Amino acid sequence: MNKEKKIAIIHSTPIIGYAIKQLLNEYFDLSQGFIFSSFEEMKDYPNMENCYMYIADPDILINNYEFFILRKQKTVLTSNTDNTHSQFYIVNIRNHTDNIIESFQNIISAIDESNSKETGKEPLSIREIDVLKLVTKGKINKEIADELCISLNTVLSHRKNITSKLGIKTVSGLTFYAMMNGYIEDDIF
Amino acid sequence: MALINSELILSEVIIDEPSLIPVINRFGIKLGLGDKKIREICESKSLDTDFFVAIINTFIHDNYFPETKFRTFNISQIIDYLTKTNNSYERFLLPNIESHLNFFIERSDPSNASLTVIRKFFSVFKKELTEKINNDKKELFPSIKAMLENCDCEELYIDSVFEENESLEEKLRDIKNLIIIHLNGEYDQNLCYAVLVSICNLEKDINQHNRIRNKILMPLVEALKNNSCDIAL
Repeated sequence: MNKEKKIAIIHSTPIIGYAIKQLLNEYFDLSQGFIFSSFEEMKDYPNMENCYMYIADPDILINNYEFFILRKQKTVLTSNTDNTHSQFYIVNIRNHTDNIIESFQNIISAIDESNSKETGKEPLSIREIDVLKLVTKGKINKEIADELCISLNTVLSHRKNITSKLGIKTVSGLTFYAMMNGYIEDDIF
Repeated sequence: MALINSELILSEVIIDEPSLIPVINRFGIKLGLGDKKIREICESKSLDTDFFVAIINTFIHDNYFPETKFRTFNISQIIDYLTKTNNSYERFLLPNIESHLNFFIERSDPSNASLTVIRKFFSVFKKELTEKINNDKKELFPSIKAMLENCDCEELYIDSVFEENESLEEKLRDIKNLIIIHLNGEYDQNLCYAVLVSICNLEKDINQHNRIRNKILMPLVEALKNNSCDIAL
């Protein structure tokens, strides 16, 4: 579930980065931690522009403020005190491990909450229900496009949205979902 | 749990990982394991210890899959194991789910139509899995074995059956998701959990079966087929 969640840990003391990586892996099943000792090192590494979380020490954060402020909803500042006022999430790495774990627990749920706002799972739209009904009749995408007078791409994007909203992928799964919710008659099988 | 090796005591392994019980049963090992080491048990049953250890490690650890090691085992040994897993789906795992489902529906609100929908979905899945198992039994496995014995690639029947497995796995996942995400109305929660656990057990097992099948058996058979064709030419 967490395999796609990349975490960039940029810390001038690599062993601290390593400790954070281990902790995230052990307690939060976040195994995709990448450790960098400088911002430049991370910049040279491919595909690090849109990570799940960024963790940086104060110097690195201040020197690359523009990058991190754009990502403030998912940037964690490692600090040596508790009393820092900041726009970023803060973890005091001098704390006991238990407190650090608790800080990360709060941060991760805050990040997940802000992510779910973006992708919010809404109920199926009327058009998606139309597509769903035709899928359950065994129609292929081209036939669905013709019947609803929409393009093939639109059908594909409806189908993608249906699967992501419902968590159901196969045609039979969709058919039984539709039956369960009264979109189609319960006598096909 | 750390990787298992043949010097560990099997009963201790099972105490930590009871989900292995059906797997060891397939090898003819029963509970009442005493304090024997894995190696000793395998030797007394004339089992290939390395193969047994590779199978249980693959089963416990989703990310562990020693492809190179598996390819050193012989094909008929792998087919035997896959046949045993197929048999246990037919004889135990599928009937288990079915009886849990029936009991669940019987004990739940009879007016809740969503429960019978799930049972129907499961029977569609069961029918397809049973067809696949029959195909293995009657066509695929015998023809691979015949090819091994005769070194004759023409007898080999390989179909697209391998790709269909994935949709079986996906269907099972959809049944699970349909229950977890979309179940509605009144029902017996305790029995619903029993249904889900039995579905998850089968899901895990089929997953592992298919990894061995698609990543080990098929490449081995392909290689053998190419070799024997070369020789025949």
